[in-house]
Amino acid sequence: MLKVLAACGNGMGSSLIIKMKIEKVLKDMNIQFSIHHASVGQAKSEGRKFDLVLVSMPFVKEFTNLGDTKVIGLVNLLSEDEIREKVSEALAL
Amino acid sequence: MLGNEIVLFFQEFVNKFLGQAPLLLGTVVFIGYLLLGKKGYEALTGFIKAYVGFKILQVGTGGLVRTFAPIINALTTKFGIEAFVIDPYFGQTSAQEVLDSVDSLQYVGYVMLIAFAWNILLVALRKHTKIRTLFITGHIMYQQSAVLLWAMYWVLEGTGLAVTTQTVVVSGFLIGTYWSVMSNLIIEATQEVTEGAGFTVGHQQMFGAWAAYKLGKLVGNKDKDVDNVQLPGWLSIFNDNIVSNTILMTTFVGTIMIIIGKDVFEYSNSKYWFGTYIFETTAYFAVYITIILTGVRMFVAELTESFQGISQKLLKGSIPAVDCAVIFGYAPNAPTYGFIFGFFGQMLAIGILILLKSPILIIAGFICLFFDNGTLAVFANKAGGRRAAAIIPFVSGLIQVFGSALVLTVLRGNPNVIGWMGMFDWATLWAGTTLLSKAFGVIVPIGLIVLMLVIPQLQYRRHSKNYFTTMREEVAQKSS
Repeated sequence: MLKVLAACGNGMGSSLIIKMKIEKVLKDMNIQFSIHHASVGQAKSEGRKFDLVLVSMPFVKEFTNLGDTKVIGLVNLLSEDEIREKVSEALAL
Repeated sequence: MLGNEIVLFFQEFVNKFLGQAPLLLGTVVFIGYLLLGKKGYEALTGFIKAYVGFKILQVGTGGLVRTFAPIINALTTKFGIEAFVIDPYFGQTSAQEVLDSVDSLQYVGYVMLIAFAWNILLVALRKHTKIRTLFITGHIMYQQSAVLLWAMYWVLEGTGLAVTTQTVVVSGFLIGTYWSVMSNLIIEATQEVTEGAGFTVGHQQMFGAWAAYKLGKLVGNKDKDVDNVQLPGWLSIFNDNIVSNTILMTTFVGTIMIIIGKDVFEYSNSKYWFGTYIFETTAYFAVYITIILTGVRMFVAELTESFQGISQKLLKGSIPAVDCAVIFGYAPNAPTYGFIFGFFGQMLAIGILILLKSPILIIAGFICLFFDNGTLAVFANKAGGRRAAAIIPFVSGLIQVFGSALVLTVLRGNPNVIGWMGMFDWATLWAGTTLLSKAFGVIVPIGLIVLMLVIPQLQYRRHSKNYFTTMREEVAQKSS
């Protein structure tokens, strides 16, 4: 089971949008997953519990201490292509 | 006899079920999920999370008022001035607590449903209405419905009795028209900023962002982009909303508490210094805002998912209007620019209020500073580079404070009011609507609905050839 976290500034608007897009992409890729969304502040403290953390590009540099968790920065949060590409790369598929 | 009992049961059902905001929202989610063909247990999950999320939100709004009210009362008693925070969650808190005090909180749900249905209808008839966008930013939809209903109730009725059906219906159509028209207005500029990403902004400053984009061309040079500038690293602490809320509230409310003086506050001398007491009190703002966000996140996630599913089924090819932060990735430095220069603008405006001995004092809130001016900066930067990304948020900071102070002159006078939205459109369009409605009555919001619907017609006239096609093709390309 792949554990995924989507995060944005307040953990309200854009993280929810990323979350819905990721759900669609991962279903298409036939990957078993669970997903949550949160603010960047929460994601920094809880990110280690997840395999992947997806955020808007400007926030990537906030995550310096997540160990094995991979952090993915997105430019277009609504682009399924970009999510698919970067998730595949991170999982080395 | 039986007929009577049915009528009686129906009345009870309206009051005790549809009249309870969390039950109503939970039911909306439940029905939405069933319509989407989700399983019964999934719909039940949605109902429970919407219900519990809403209850968590209410814990937060209640706590925020309880923390803030004593400080403001002390300030009023001592200096005769009132202070309000300009931040969406302080606006939403005021709205919810005022409406709840007249047993009308559930009407917010109806306002939102009317507005959403109206938005769907306007898009469905897009051949005639020229509206291309559907608003799906759930937390904003709920918040704006609440704040507008509060403002309209207060200036049109303010009786202490429940909100009337007329005000609910007018508010619903008004906010629905705003969602449709303003997110439609900013499509072309958003396409420029995102290089054709196929969405538009559905937030609290669409009119402001459109103006920023138009004016940006005049005040700057688009080739001198903000992303060529190296910003100091310590600014990144503001990326954490808990940290930034605490810093801002400690600074501003802490200053007010020091000015009021420590004798006024009742705290245990053996447990606290005045300084640690201030920090604990002001940190509670971050605590309650975090609780509010947690609650809203929970019920909005369900609501948005069910709304988006419904709209996708109904309206293929409409353009989604989403949270403003979605565009931040296209100009990572711009939001920080907006934050800094908007901050200077707000500070100058607050200073002027103090010098003029205004009876209303404004306290700066984080969301306005970062998300609102940040969005304006992204649009200004695209049109006029870093010069525009500095000047426009600065001016916006002034407007946010003065516009909010102005509208609060008619909204204050209720102990549950602790703030106003403050976001650009709310300090301009909505502040104006509220003030005019106070003066001229319900004809103002009704007239505004008609006037706003003219805007997409004018847009269409200016570029009728590719008005519908450009977006559609781009959307099709993106999703293929």
